[in-house]
Amino acid sequence: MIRIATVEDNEHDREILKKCLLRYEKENKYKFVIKEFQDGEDIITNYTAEYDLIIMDIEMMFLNGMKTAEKIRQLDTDVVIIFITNAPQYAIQGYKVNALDYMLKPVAYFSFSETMNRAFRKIKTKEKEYITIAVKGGKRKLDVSHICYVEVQDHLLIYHTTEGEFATKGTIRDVDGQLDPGHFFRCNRCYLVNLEYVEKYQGSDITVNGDIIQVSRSRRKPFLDVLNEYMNEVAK
Amino acid sequence: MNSNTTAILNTPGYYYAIAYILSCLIIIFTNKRRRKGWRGILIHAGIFTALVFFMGLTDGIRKWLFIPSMCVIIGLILADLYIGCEFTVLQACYYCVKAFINGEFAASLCWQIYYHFYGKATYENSSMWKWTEMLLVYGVIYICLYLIEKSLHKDMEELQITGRELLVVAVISGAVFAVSNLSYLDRNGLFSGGMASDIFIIRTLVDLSGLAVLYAYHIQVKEVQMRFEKDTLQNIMDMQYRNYKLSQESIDLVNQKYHDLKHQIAIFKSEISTEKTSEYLEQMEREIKVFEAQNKTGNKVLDAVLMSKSVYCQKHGIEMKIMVDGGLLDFMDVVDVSALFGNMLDNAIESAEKQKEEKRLVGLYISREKQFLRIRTENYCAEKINFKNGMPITTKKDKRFHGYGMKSMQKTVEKYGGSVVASQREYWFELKILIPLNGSKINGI
Repeated sequence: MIRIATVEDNEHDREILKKCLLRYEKENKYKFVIKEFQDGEDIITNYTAEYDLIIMDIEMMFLNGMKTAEKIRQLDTDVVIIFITNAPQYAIQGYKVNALDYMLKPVAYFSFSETMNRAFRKIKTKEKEYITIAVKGGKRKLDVSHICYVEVQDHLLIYHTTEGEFATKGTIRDVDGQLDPGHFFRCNRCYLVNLEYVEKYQGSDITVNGDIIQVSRSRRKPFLDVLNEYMNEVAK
Repeated sequence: MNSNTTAILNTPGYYYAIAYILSCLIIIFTNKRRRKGWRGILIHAGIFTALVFFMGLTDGIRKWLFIPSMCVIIGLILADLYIGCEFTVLQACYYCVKAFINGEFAASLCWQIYYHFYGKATYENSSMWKWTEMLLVYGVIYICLYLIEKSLHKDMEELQITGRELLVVAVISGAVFAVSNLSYLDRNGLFSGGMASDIFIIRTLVDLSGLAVLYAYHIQVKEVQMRFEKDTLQNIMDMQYRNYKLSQESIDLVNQKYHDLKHQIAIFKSEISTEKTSEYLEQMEREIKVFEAQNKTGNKVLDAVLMSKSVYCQKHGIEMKIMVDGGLLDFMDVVDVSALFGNMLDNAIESAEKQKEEKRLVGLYISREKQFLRIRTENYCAEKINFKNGMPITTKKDKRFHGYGMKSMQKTVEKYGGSVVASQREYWFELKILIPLNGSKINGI
């Protein structure tokens, strides 16, 4: 079930949008729950972060789409926002509220469905992945998305996670095969980095969750290419 | 002439076979291989075995079968190179000719040296010496050739070979091969030597000069192509910059008119007071306000580029979406911004134009992600695009004039230490750029 909110003050446009949504739902066999709002003010009053997707007009009477989106972002950073607009110049700054995309009025179904396809790639909830590691006095389940990087020291693997550091015996090869190569990158002999936590890249160093790790010379170009792909894959 | 001389005149087939194999290996190791690992090794081993076997079988044939058997040998070399490397057919032919002459020369010199030192006296029982000598001579020759080949690849990944280049090297090597073997056909000919040593000297020297000419030609072709590439890339930069300048000029002109108009409307409004006209004037004011917001991305150069492209898109029924933070581009040169975005959008628009009316969709997105600048263009493309090394292969026929737009973008992004990746997914072609932002402009990669 996918929860969608539409915010549109023009009744005619709202009808078109609804038709497109229903057709898309049918064609792709989704189950939509659609809630319609007539102005930005309506959606932010008592806003609950319950939607997966918000499709919103930019030019509205009381509170325009940009301002509404700003307010929504303060409460909900995850929801996918798509704008609808008469004039593209109003949507150029959509990046400010981390909008995924926008649609131009009058909404044509083909363009609409393509935009929706992209949105659904982001919405599809990622299943949580876990790995189990042996730690002192037992086993521990680690949420893969919480691992910032894995470091190897002699025969010890150190998992640096957002919940702290965990050491276990093993080699970097063991983890290398275990973790998704599109998601993790071997920067050098001793470090396997979660691309999600790469903050900065300068000279030969990357900053991963605040720690600086060196990328070996031969891996710099591949690293940047993989990061490039990764960011386009997951980021909004 | 006694039988001993005749026997020694004929260089054994395996001399050639080994030399050809080594020549092939050098070319395979200095060019992009098609496949690595066991399968590749097995294929080469198979072809090389066939070569050795065939040359052993046809060893010493000097009559009407000579030409056909030479053709088979060359065919095997060609097949090996084509299968082994990422060559086009023409490139494979070109390198095959080179490998063949290299092999000829090496085998000829090796046998001549052997003949000179050991052949005369102890021909029968010198097989140990023979192999040592071969190892030594081939070793020296092929290490030299390897180094030469390697250095030829320095500034340019691969040479474009057309029929013209191939014809030239084919003619040169054909002549070299013919002259070097003339003495074998007719001992009393104009360019033939009667004595074994004469024959060897002629053969080795002709092969050597052939080899030298081929390399000289190779260097020349490479230099011409390098200059061509440099000029073309420069032309692309210049052209995009000119486009930007032109667009900027018309924007300035329109801006001026716009301000005049705004002014005039204000004056009219204050003077004329009937309700209808003032309503009309207000509507007009609203309408031209749209212009004010037109393509204001935060980067003036990008604005100008976008202006001319969006006008083009409107005219051709292409829907262009723009969601960009132009302010992020401040660290880039004007020329780079105009060239990069001019090229990116030109590519996307050109591809979108070929689609059906409602499917002409193009998008440009620029945003910041942590300490990285992300740029992406996308366009709907129903046709399957082929990729090579992560970059799309040009759909235009003549490779020599196209694909430079992509190269130009790569060069610009490289300058800022970034990465360019292209892909196609669910009919969408995407070009993605990631540039680390770190205060300093040039990042050493």
